[in-house]
Amino acid sequence: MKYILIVFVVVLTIGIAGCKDELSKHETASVHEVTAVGSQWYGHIPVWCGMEKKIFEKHGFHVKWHFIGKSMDRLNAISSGEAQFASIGEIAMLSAMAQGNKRFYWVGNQDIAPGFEGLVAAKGIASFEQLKGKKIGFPFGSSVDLTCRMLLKQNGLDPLKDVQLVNLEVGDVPAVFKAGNIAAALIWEPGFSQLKAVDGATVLGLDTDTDVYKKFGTMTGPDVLIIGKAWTDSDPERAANFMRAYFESLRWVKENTDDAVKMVAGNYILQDIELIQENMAKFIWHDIDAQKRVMSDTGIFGQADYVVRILHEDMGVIPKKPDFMQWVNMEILPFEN
Amino acid sequence: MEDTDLTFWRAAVYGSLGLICFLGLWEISIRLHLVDPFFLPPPSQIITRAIRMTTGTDAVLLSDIRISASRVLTGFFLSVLAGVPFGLVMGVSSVVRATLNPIISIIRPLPALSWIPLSMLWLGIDEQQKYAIVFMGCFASILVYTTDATMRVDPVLRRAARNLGASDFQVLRYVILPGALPDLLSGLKVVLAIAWTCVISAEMVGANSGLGFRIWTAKEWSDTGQVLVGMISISVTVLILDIAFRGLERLLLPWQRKVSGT
Repeated sequence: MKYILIVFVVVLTIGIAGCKDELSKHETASVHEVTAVGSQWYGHIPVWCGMEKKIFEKHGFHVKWHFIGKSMDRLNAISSGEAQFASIGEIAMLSAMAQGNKRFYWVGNQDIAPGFEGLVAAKGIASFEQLKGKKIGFPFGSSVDLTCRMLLKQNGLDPLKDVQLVNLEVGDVPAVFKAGNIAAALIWEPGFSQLKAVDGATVLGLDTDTDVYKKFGTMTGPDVLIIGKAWTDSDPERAANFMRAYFESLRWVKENTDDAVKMVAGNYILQDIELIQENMAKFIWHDIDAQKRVMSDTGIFGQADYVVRILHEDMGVIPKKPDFMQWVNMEILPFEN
Repeated sequence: MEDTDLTFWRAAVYGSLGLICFLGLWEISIRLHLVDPFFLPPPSQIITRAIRMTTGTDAVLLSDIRISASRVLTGFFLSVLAGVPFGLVMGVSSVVRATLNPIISIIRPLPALSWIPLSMLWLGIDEQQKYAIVFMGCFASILVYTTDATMRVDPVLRRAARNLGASDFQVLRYVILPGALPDLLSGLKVVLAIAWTCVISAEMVGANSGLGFRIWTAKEWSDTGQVLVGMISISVTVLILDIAFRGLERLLLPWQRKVSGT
């Protein structure tokens, strides 16, 4: 009798737990969970503000934010299906396309931020010539990889023979540079400001000094928006609604920059608020109206074509030139006309 | 059902068959589109890639293996040089053991990866930093293995040697060391494999050569083929080092060879 009672209690407990779980599923059936991944970079501000201002919730999305420092890691998270949305660097996206990763769509280019990354040399180095034989550290496979190689080449140095390139984690770059372990370093904001603040440091070149900027007016690896392919294909309307919420949030950031800065300072970007304000003033946001213009052959597609050629032919880091248009999906963008 | 020992050649044939079946299934699953080749490239592609990385214009594989192996061996030998004598002393002296145990207990659970930020600040990003990571990953384990091996030596043998008039050094040289050697060498074999995980961690940041660097860089360019070539290279290198270590074991433990009849 005692055992029957115990079994009854256990079965009842499991039953109640199951019902509760089922109930909560029904309660949240109208809210779609989305995992967005990103770093401390300014390009993620629309997601953060959309979460804080509950813009996503208004459109029926509960967005969970996960910090992943590197673009390729974010892209891998999207490819695995664990995350659905991210802003990443264009270089990582093009590399993944060249390797045949078809698990994501390229859906936008939300900003342009020239002059936010560059090559900073340590005390006593005032020219590219003085970098000969020295170590330069940066995260491989990112926009600064291309910026570094282009700046060196443009200034008469062979990136593979004249200097030693060292792969560093994004967060390690300022500390390694400050400790004097490398002669020069490259990183984007907020690390770029930390490099410039090191005693005696000199900025030898910015991404705006590269041929990419001169030809196309963009950074070497602009921010791009990607979304999970399986997630989109399983419910295109849901994906379109999400993009509507994202661009609404971006527009809010564009129109309320000061409020957006206050919202992210200390919470998402660990920099002084004055510095964020200063940087944001130079940031150009591409809202939904701008997407048709920037996502075009005269915009980022032309630039991507140029970058792909450099990555494949000059640097030999990708096995082929991908036809990136196969990944572009602008059908889910909420154009009004 | 009675399981009998296989001869070396028979075991080799079974092992090869198992490996061929595994590789065949792997290749077929990708050719039948059951697995996305971006996530797992087929063996044929990995072999082609490995050949290109060994003989082609971008032949970096052999030099990477050599660089990583030299980092592993340097860090490992340094930790043996420091860990074995300390371990012997800890094994024979309960006072030393009681004094050092708390410190070892703090250091031992720390993974090699956790030493990277500090080692970069203290030693920079040159070779010493890589050796230090391997050293820190191996030292505590070697110390513990040596202490345990020393403590497992039969105390009757020690007492007998002393009764026969052996000095402390003679007891250590002729009783403790040979008695502890089999367990110690088994422990070192395990730690040598750990040393590889340490060097791969060390080469993932602040490096421009080595297998860890190659794997990590391939990851940044989404090149899963190269990642797998790097991983397989580690396995093969560790296997070769393991065989070499077994040879050393046979050389240093002739009495065990006689016992096992090999």
